[in-house]
Amino acid sequence: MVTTDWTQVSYEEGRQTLKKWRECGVRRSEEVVEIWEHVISRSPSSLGDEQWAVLEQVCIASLDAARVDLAQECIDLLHAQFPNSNRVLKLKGMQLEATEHFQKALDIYERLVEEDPNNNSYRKRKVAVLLAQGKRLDAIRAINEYLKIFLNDPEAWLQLSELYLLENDVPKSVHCLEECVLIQPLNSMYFRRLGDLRYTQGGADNVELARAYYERALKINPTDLRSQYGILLVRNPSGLLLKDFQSNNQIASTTKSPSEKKKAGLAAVDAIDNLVNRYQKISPKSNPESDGILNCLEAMKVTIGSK
Amino acid sequence: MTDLLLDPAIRTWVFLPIVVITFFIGILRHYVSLLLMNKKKVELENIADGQYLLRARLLRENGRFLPKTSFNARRQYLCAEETGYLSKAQQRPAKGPNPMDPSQMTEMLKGNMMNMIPMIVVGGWINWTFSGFVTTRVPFPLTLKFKAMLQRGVDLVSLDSAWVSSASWYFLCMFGLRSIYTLVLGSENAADQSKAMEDQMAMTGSAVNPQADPRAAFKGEWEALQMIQHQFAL
Amino acid sequence: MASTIYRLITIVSLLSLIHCAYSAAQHRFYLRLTEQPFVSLPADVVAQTVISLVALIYGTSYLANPFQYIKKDQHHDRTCDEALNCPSFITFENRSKAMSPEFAMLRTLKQQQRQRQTSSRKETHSGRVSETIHSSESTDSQE
Repeated sequence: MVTTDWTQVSYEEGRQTLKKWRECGVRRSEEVVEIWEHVISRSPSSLGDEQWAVLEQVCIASLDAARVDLAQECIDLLHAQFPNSNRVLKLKGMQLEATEHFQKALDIYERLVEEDPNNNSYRKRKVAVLLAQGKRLDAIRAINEYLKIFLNDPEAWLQLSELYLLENDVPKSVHCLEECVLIQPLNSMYFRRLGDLRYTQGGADNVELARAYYERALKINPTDLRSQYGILLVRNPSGLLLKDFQSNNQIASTTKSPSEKKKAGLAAVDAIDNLVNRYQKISPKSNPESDGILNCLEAMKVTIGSK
Repeated sequence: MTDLLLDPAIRTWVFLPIVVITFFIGILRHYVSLLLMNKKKVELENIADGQYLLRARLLRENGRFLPKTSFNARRQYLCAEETGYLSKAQQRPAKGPNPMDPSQMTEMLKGNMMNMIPMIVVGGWINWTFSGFVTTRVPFPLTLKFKAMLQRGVDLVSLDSAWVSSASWYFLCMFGLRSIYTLVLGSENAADQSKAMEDQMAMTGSAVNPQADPRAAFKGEWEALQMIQHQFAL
Repeated sequence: MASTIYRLITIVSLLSLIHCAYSAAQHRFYLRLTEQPFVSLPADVVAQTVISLVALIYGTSYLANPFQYIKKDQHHDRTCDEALNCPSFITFENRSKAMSPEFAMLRTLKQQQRQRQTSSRKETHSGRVSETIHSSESTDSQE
């Protein structure tokens, strides 16, 4: 793991990093707080117009890292600049959430929703309050209500799919991910996840679908290791699917003709080759397990190739 | 093709000034309308409508990544006879432009005023100021039918259709500069006469224009969805 | 961050293209004045046009941002953490609260509040009962 000492970076680098994280929606709260305190807060005004966005980012990060003092500072600065702003009010609501005053936070969000019913972020925060209180079923219901209006929000669908997974409801989770795929068909993450979920569901059809999804994820993003592993899993030529283990001790193999098995075997060997290439490029320092993994992969290749 | 030679002074004092005038008047119109018109208050129902239309379109475009059952289930949800959203939306009573409603009427009136009056006034002024000569020539040959369009104010029967008079040049500029306005003022500009009716971004919740289009749009999407054959592309 | 050489190339080629356009117009004007039919532009104007066009394309392709794939996966260099993160639904219930001194204070305040509430409720019972309950609760909270 490469760890940077964020207290020592230059101003410009810190600013660029914060911007990148802000745009990608990354959750690295402690590092954001570090960068802010040690690097940027020395001269915040030289950020120009960006400083308000940075302040918002730092405020949320500090709430996440339980730095209530820093959050209060940021909110005060933002309030001084934008006295009647709904966005600042939302941050105050988040601060109340972080200090566990959930009812007050809910009141603020309901007021905001009434004032500006077209802005979807306040409704999402209401759901987040329910999540923070651990009321998963209520949260699921609330997101479903939200999605009846704002239909094409991939974030909400993704969150709903996570919640269904926490409730062990895999088919509904698959449904939500498929919605995400409809909205953003070029996102390899969704396909990978769908592949995982379909493989988890088990059964011949689902495994075929999983294969298709993994291959698509690989096509979009050729550097994706997990899809390679996924292909390895699903292209198992002996057709050994433990899920189909019948009660009378027969291991039901998927009904594959010999030519199909051979094709599957070749695909699996291909996947292993790709994996081996990738692992060989990594130096042992960054991933100390890579030698062990390489040995495993070679062994797998031998067993699969011999079938 | 007779080659008329135009005075270069026409180019400097007529051709370019008309372009410049049209451009600046468009920008002026945009800012004035920003001041005068209040923000469109968007109903939640309209947002939902816009989103469903967008979703129907996405289903058509990206449905090949879903397995057959999922696709059919979604198509069923949208298009089913009694219970599908699109079918239900088509049954809604049509809300045509209601002239009785005072607030809607003032909106319409303001919109029309904003667009028509400057066009007529400036067009007339240009016709009066720059009358008596041809301004420019389109580089390709045209039929006689275009004479009426391009030679407003010039009544010469024998003049080739390619020549454009100053009033017509003004109108040509006005329609042609639309894309320049988009470049300069960003999309959503009021100087653009023909705003797109369709829903753009999912997040901002822009809505279908409540007056005319929803039923036609729903019907279009419904038919398109019915027609599509699902082919699992993976 | 475009270096000045590419910027220079782009500007020079743009000016050269404009110059070509002007010289082509001038050429046609000259031909019209001398009443010669227009056949083609002189070779040097054509050559200058082509060269400046190529130079312009070359310069702009360096000035513009790096090439992107036609169908780009915006998540191709991101981890699962980043790509599957839903920042609008962020909740602040995480371990950092356990490690922060302010929240420790908040927790003790809440506990004291709860103790006071339960003890005031139990005052309706007999004194000894409430005492025993109170003492057992305080031992609980000390754990």
